[in-house]
Amino acid sequence: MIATLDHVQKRFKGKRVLEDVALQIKEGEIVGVIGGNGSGKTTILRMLAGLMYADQGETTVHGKKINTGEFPGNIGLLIETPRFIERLTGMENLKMLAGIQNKIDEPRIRETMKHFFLDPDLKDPVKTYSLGMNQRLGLVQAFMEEPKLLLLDEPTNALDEKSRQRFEEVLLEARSKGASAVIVSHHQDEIARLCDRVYLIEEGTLKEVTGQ
Amino acid sequence: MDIKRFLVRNRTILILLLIFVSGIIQLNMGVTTLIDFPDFKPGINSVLFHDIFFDGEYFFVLRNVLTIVLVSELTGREWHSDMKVWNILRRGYRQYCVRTFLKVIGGVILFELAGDFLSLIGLMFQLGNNWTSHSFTIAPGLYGNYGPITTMVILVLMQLFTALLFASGTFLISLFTKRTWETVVYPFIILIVIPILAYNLLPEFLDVPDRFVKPLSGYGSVLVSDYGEPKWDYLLKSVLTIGGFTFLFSLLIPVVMRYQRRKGLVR
Repeated sequence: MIATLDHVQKRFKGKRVLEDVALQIKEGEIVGVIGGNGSGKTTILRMLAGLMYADQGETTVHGKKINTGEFPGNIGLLIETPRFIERLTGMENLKMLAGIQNKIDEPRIRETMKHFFLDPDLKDPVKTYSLGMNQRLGLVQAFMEEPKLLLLDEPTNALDEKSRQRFEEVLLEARSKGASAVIVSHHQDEIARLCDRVYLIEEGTLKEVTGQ
Repeated sequence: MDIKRFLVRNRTILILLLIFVSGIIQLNMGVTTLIDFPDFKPGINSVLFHDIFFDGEYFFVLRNVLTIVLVSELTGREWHSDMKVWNILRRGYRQYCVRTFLKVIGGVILFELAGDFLSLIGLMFQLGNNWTSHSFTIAPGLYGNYGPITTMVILVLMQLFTALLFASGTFLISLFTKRTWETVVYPFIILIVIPILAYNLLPEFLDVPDRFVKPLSGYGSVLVSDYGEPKWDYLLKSVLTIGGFTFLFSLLIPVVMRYQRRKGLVR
């Protein structure tokens, strides 16, 4: 198993958002979570990323128990609208990010940017980027280091049809290399098309709806 | 790369230039003052320290504002972008926070020293390569007990101590901010404007000795030429007040960070 949520509960200001949530993600599997606003979809991603602790239950990613304060290594993350350092160019932001681990080199960044129709030599700072460009840059940062687990929150937000198709191609290619993904989205058709299993989150619980 | 783009992207260099410019203005004022001050010989080192600690609170404020801007520059742009989250995920929360704190401390010390160095060079052009070697002339309040080098080291440490007070305060306040501009404005209000207003508007503060309410003014005492009284008392209380606040801020930083981590407020 790449990641598991085991009887996880989470409250915010007394309101129970997640109630006894269980989820298992296998290697090479794409899992989708759909649900209304405020239903707890993003909370699940945050827990898997180690950005938030469960009140009860256990979160395990890559064999690490996340509740102990550890962060799962080797994940790609896109939560809500990506926020970059606005005065730097897209390439500079990504180079800075890649510099944390030094796992990939500049040609790899350029290649991933081109995959998502971004010009690596563009001199404009990120603050001049359109919503779609910003989202594509967020996808580049999530995919470029070829993580074993991708956590994607509304990944196709603000993308045009061409970029949307490209995202699907890149995601499926990552899966063919053994990566797993959890995708959270409002777009049920997209989730149904891409994911091996789909869950609906309602009143704090997950219900598998694959094939329905 | 055009110069405007370079400066916009590297604001730390702009801050260094501003420190230099403020130093030059400050030093020019200081030289004018010192000409009428028979106890001081206008050696470039004595002029520098005289200005840093003694001459005009406006420049004290300016320097401290620059420290706040510098800390904002060193932390704010990462803190309010996803670069923070990515750093945390890859390095771990504790390591990232320690690294950021050390970056702030190191950056501030480096900039203060670089500002001094540039100011000395500027002063050298104005006054020539004359150094004051008599420690009593450099800092009469230290009572001439130490050699000139030790005296200057003490004065530089006092200067860095002040910068660290503002740096740790700014860092602590910036943990509660949501936008980059807030990391400048809020520390400016809390660390500079409110103490000045409180001191000037609240009568209770008038009974408290200056060195507690405005500990930085206690520093100036080491440069006062008063033959009758050693200034260790003033200096010690100033250092304790400044050190106390720096310690408190530095202690609160990990407490706040741990709380934010536990509450899932990292992003």
